[in-house]
Amino acid sequence: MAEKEKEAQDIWTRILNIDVRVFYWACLIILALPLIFPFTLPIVVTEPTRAAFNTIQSLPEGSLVLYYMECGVGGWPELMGSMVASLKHIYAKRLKFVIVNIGYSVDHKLTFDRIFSLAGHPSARGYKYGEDWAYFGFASGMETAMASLAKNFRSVYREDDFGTSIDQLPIMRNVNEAKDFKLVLCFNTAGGQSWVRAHWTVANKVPSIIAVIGAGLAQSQSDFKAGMNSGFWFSTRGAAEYEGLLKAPGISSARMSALDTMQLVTILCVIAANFAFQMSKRRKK
Amino acid sequence: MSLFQRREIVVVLTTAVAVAVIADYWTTLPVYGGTFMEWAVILGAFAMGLAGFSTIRYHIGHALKKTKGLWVFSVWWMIVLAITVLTGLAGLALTFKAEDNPIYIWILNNVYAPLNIAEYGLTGFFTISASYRLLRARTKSSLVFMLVALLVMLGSIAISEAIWSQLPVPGQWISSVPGAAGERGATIAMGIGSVIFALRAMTGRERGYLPE
Amino acid sequence: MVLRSGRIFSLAVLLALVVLTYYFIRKAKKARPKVRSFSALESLKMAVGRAAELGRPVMWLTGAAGEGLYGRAGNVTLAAMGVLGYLTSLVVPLKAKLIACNAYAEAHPLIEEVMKTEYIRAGKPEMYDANNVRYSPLWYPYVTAVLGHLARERPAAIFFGGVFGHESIVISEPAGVIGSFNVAGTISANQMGYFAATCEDWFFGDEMYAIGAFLSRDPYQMGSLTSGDILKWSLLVLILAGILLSSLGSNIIVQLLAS
Repeated sequence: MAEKEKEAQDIWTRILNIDVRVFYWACLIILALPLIFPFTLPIVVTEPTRAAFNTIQSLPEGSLVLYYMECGVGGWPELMGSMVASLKHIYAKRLKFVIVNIGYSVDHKLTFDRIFSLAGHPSARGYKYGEDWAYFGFASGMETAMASLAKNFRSVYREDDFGTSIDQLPIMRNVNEAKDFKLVLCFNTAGGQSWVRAHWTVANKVPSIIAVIGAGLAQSQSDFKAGMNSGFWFSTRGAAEYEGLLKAPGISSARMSALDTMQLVTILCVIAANFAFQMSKRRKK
Repeated sequence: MSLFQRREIVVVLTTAVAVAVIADYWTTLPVYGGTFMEWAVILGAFAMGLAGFSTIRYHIGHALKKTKGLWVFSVWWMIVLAITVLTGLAGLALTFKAEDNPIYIWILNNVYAPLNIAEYGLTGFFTISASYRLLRARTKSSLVFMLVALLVMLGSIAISEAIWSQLPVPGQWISSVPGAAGERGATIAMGIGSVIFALRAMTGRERGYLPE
Repeated sequence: MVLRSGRIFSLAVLLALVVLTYYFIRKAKKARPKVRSFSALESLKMAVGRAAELGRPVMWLTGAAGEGLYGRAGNVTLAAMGVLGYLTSLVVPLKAKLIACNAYAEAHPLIEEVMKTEYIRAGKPEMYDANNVRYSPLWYPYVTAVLGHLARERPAAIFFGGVFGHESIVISEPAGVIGSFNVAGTISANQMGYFAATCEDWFFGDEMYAIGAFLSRDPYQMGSLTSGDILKWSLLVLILAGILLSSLGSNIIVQLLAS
């Protein structure tokens, strides 16, 4: 009996001290399953995503949107879904947009190419460069640049990313400051959210919608409740909700099964570890 | 001590630039504080040369000494560095724009981007293993920590809604009310601490990072 | 108008802080203020001792999320360098190896200088090895490089100091698996939970900025901490007043903050 008890104790201790390499391989196999056998669960649309959708939906045709891309390659898994879906929404509403990037000097071109390959190039949607959309590329200066952009667009960008002078772009005629934009879409992995809030939304009353990675949820939630943003997309989940509202399932909807599985595995691991821990404690007593 | 290494010069420069940036933010005076930010980025690029040289020296040293478990990676690192730099320079010489070089773009799209995303994907594995290893109810506070973590996770997955529609509610409340409040409080305190640190740096009192 | 509208209140708060700091620094000349101790500093001392006994190195590393010294990582990285100087002073008498990893090129010469100065001050300049200051640019390559250093060097004590993103868990979890004693110091509010789970001790938020003052024991620096505390209490009173007045239907605090 004592031997059996000793064996049982070893089992709990072994479960608690499982080799991490075995653990990682098990995780890899389990997380690969939803990619091989995808499943979909109905997603309840949360209030911030619905508010973001309604904000864009309420804009009249031809409104000018600032598409602020503060997202490097590492942010693609969490933000690419909302970037693509929002661009599709912009196309559907025939809104005009201007893309800027203040933050990532290496990745912005990659992100620019990737978004258009997934959402469709503007020219394929009947958009004319310079009249309906423009791309201004990277500008250094972080928060200072965002603040300057709100005060005087031309103090940060004097030409677009293709070398054309800003004054030769019809879309930028009479566009000088934040108040000339009807909406800011901010896709941020770092500090862009607070810069937009401070210098565009609070200072100039320009509505903003933020796409945040997982770690930015708390700040976005409190900003939304305080009226400092007009909605936000929370990582892959928010993007999947948004795709559902647009009735255009995309990459985020496809990823939800893997994401849900990962979080479910985490929860089950925590429960299993605590169960084994309590059993191990009892055995020792 | 050399004139150029005197601590006072560092402090005066720090104070002058800080005052210019502050004046640019709070006043309408034509101080052009943003220019200093651009200069800082340019200085950073020069510093990258210095730091890069240090890294190259490190890897060359290990490659020559054939340090066990490292020298192969050092040699590979230098090969990749050479390919990327030479490709970029060649593109710059031919087109005057490094990013228009198709080989350079290929390297970015097919090597750099997937590796970055793969590295970011490690977060999931390590989150699971950290949760398994560490979220154990050893004490009362760790029990509370674990329960909050579980509730917040349940608040964000679609499966919990499929089980019971009210299951995500506590987790969403925790994120949006006490979580956000705590983050706001911490942010305010950090902002004050940062300003005081800057004041100490501008008056030369903060010595942790200044050379003797 | 010279002052920008919408920013007058924040300027007033800044000026109040400057005046308070000056006042308490002057006051600290006469009587050094009492500052509570940081358990994380004691933990660091213990961790370095343990590393020396085990014959394994100590590691100091910055985060990579803050866009450099001229971005939001600036102050906290400089504060973390104060801890680096302290760590160096601990490892020298114990003859332990100290490795400093950083992701910001402009911080690299400062880090080299801080370490070199401490070795010289301790009378052991020959112990300084430039190869122990390791730089890797950008965000994801830096994280991968640090993971490689962890796997090869197997440090017994690690200090994380700076602004962190996802690398908080990606580095601290494997560090825990190899048995290192982790201490974190960060201002990244959204990463504090990960560090609280994976680290043995930590400095969070404004504690990072207070370390330099605490370690130096300089009365002037410690006087500046008092002004911060006074301002925090004042803002707390303002928040409570705002809650009360808003509940009663008055917007006066909101208008004051927006002025």
